[in-house]
Amino acid sequence: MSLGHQLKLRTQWWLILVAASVLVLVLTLDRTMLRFDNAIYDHLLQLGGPASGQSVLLVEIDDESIARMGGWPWNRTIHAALIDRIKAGNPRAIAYDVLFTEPGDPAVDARLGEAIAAAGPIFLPMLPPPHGAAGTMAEPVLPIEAVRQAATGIGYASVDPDADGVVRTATVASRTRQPQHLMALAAQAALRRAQPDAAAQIPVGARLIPFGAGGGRWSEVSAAAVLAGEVPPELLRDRVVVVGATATGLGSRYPTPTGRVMSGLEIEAHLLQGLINRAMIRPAGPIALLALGLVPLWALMIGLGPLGRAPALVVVGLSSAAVVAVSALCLLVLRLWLPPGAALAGLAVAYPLWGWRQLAVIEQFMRAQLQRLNEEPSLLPRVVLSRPGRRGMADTIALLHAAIARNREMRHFVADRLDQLPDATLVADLPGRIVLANAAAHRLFASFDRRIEAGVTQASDLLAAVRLAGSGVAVPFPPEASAPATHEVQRDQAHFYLVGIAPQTQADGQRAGWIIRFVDISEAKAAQRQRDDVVQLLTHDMRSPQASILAVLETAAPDRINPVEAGAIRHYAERTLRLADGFVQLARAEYLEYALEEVDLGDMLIDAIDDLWPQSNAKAIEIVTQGEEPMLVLGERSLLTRALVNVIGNAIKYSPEGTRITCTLTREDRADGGHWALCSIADQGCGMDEDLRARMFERFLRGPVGLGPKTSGAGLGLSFVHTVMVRHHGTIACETAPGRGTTFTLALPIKG
Amino acid sequence: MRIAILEDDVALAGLVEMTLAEAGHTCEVFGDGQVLTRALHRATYDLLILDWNVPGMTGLAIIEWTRGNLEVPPPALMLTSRSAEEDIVAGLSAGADDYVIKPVTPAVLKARVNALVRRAYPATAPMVEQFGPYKFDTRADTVELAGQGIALTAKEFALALLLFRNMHRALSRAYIFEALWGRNPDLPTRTLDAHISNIRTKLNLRPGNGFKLVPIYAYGYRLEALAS
Repeated sequence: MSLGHQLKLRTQWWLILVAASVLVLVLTLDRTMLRFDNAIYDHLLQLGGPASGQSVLLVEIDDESIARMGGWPWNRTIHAALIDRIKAGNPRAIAYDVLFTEPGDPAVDARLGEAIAAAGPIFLPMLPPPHGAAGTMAEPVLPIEAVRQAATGIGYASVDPDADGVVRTATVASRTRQPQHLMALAAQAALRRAQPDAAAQIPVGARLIPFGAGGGRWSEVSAAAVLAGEVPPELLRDRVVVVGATATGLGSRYPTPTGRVMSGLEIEAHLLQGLINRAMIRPAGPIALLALGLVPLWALMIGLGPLGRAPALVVVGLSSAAVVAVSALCLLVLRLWLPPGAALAGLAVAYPLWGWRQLAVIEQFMRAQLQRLNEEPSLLPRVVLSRPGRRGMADTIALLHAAIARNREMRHFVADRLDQLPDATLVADLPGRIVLANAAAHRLFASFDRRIEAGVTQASDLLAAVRLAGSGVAVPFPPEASAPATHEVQRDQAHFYLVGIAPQTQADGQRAGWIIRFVDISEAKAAQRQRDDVVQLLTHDMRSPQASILAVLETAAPDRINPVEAGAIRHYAERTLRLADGFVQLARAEYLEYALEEVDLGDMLIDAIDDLWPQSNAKAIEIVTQGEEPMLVLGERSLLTRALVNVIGNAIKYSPEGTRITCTLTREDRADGGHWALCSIADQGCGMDEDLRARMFERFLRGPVGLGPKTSGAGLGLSFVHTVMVRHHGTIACETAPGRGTTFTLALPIKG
Repeated sequence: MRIAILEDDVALAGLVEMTLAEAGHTCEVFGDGQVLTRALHRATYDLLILDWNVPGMTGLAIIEWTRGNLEVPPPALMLTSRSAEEDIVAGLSAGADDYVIKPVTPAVLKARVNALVRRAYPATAPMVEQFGPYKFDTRADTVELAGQGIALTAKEFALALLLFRNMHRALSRAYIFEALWGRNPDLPTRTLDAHISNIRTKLNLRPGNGFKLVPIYAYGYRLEALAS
């Protein structure tokens, strides 16, 4: 992806991070997720065990009590009797949650007051101030004087449901402040009895009541049973006894996190138990809440961000699970409530947002790439977009369609062209499996009884069908060098191929495989062999008998063979040999692969002159050379020397005795920047007429007998010179006129 | 010297035998390569003259065979109609000590054979060596042409002496390089050509003086003394 797109993506990452963080901040501080959090809280509470209530005894004024003791409200003497009964069991404290706010019969009220006064730590409720008009500070409604004087403490026994009507919270006022909750008073008293200095440890402020799973497990007895003395005193001993009305129609009932609707008495029992056990749940402060909200969000964004390598869904899953787990652990172990709603909301918003932005940037990038691809020059006719210039997904899809179509067309095009190649061509991947094979290749290997299956056949198996010509070993594959390699191979004596193996590279230069091409050179090979056979015939088979003829003449006794005939025979044998040599040299000049080396033209000239010394000496022809400084050319030394021999030999042949041949070496710097070495050979011989000059490079052409002295030669000499000069990128020029001598000028490019 | 001649052409074999007999050598002619190898088991020859294409075993195969089977392989001279330069290189590279193309004149044959014999069985070199008009003094590293002193550099002197001592013998470039510059010299091949060119000019090694310096295609050089 381009730098621009990466930068864009990075900016968007930061934007999303900041926006999601702000969202989490707002959700946390605004408690927007309260309902969701409450649902989570209610469920999490069920994971904890039930609240156990060893130190609490509920004395319920239930339907049975009403039935046995008569209708509600009871005469206060019954209450007094009940208190007496409970007191007899020696409880740790009594919370008697029955309101005595209306004055009644003074004697009865006094009796109740006495019972209360005698009951030890006993706490009674008052009526919380009614929810009056805002700003008016209403007074709570207190119990009657007799009760108020006798009770250890008066507290309010109200229950505050949350907005959803479920009771979760109770507020404990600090010790010095009034009014205090009835259960807080009872708990304080109970704790003070057990550990006098631990009373102050009751937590202050709004706390969550630890409702256990399935409600509390405390002992419950009916008030009637207590009155009837049916309850053993052990059940009361050292317990906090809570007395309250649960009978149908008496007391309020509230939904609780447990899912059950509980009586106020039962809720109070939970609260009391929580206070005594110090198991109240503390709501977390804003810093902890923000930490829980922001840390997983940032972890998620880092995990998903441009640096991230983890799969996105895994990161989201892990972050969410971590949030819930931390929340649950804090609640159940540390008894600290961290609502996970804001954190989960942050994650839930950031993940799709980031995914969407990423997709958008990728789509932009893809569109740009596809557009570029579409504008690139193509071998094929361009696929015209139906509605160009539109933005949006449809356009990208159209572009992608075009790119895929082009790709498909391209593949067809390449495969078709490959198929139409006249030579067998294989494309192999890096391990050597054939990926593509053209029709010619299928035909060729079918003739070898080998089938090519794309993707299965190994190139080495196919190459095993042939052997390197000459050495007979297998074709090395894959080649060690990365440069293209060419081998001459043969299937049998009649079928020869040139195998080219070239590395196949991708646009980025990465090696992708191999391209192997078979060129049938059987015909060329047959022609070459024919030529070789002719050369062989001439070099050896034809030369041998001539050499033998000369040997016979050499060894024959002079009296056995007439010297005149011997001379004639020798002359013809030597001429046959020269003809063969000339032909062989010409064939070599034409077909040999030249091994060029740096040679001095002057050296070669002297070699040639020395070689011809017998001839020039015999005719008393002086050969002079001019311009001695070294003149280096790139050439095939033996062929160039022989060319000089042929030219100078001709000069000797067609020159009268006692004349001079002048060889001059000069250097010519031409206007086109080329440097040339010139070697001119000027004789004082008979020269040539225009007609002969025009045809002098023809094969088997010899100077006319009448023109010059009697000579012998094969007539291939100048053809050879011409061939050698052409193959050295040189030229040969001739200046001549009959009777004025001949000057040949050979020109060769100078190296560098 | 005892010389074995491998030649299936009777006329040529006769010429060679006659020429070498005149020079005082004892010759034995073989028409078949296999027969020659059997003879080499029994008898010792000082020199082999081998045709390339003969029945039984080629001349090149014989050379290879002597390298593998004889304790002291005798020097070998290829005498063949195969005139292609590649053949000459192949023959010399295969181990032939010299290569002569048919038809051969008695003078050339004698000179080449004598060169091989001289090298294979050398007499102690005297302090002053005379080759035609050239006089080499190896103590003073000086050379004279017809009594006239010629100034040569040390390398040129060594190269000239090497060529004269190996008259008529083909010397490979590698051989000359090693003799003059030691093993694995890091020199361009042009260096040798330049030295050859220099001594040819300075010593006037030209047919006019009775000597000819012959380059051998892709192989090296040979100094030839021309028959007067």
